[in-house]
Amino acid sequence: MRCQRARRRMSPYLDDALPDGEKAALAAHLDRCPACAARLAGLAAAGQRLAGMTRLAAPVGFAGRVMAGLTKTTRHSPFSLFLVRGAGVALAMLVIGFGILFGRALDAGLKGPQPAAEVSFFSLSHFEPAPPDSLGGAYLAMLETGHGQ
Amino acid sequence: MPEASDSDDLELIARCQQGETAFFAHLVLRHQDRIHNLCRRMLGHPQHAEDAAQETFLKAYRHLGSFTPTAAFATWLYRIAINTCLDQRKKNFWDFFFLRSGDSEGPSAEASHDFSPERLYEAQEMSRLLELCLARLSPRLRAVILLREQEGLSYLEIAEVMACSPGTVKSRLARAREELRRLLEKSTEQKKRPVV
Repeated sequence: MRCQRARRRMSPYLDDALPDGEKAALAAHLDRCPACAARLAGLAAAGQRLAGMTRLAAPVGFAGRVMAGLTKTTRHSPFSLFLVRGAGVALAMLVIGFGILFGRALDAGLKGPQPAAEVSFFSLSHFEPAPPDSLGGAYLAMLETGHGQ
Repeated sequence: MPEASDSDDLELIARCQQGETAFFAHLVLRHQDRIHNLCRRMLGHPQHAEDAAQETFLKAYRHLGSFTPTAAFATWLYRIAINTCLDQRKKNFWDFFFLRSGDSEGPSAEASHDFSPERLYEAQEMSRLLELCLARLSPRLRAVILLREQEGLSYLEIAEVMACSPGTVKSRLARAREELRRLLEKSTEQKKRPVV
């Protein structure tokens, strides 16, 4: 057995979960390979330390606090859970439906006839590209009278 | 695995399902220590652990109707506890930035009294070191190694708790052990290194 294969079998070896043949092959490898033997010892030590850690009991009055919490809560039947989820879905559908309707109304409002004052206010025809008393205006006037050539 | 017999649990569950809520207190008393210990080891912080353990029992009570006796009640509780701890960790993400370092003191404060001061100090140091190394494992690896080494569950039972295959348990356990070994060796080496 090679080291890489031996290392893959170390964890189940510690749990005594290896078939007899593999267990014997690993044991034989460990006898020959000090590096793998040290690695297995490290794994075993880590597990033992963890297993030996102090078990932390529940604090005093824990059960009482749980039982007090039960009075605030009620057992949910699958039907009540279905109702709650159904109400959530219905609310979401309502919001989406309202959004679609509102969007359509807004869209129709924009496409429909608009007041003339509003149209002219937003129109770009108010602006002249070159007012007559500007340099551009003078240049255009020259072009029109043929002085530009 | 559990010291509390499964048949007693089933009897208590049946009484609770008939509406006799008071019997749930017996169930809590039978399982509170193991659930609290698991939550504490998973989360590190005493208050978060107590909250998670309480939440576990409240969830168990709420869903008692869906409990099927195909699995042991303790295994079912472990499953709820692990899921609650995984959720709790997400909720407590910001605590990492705001907790004082002393808030997550490990079991050292509750260690046994019959130690000499030196032994107590050593045990506290080792316990603290173990907690720190455990905290560096990913939550799923931590859960697997705790269920195996501290709670003594079999591969099959862990698979049931973690909702995965026994093969996945086997590989996660191997990774968790390897990671823990590496972290422990690294920290003991750092401790031994003389300060220059």
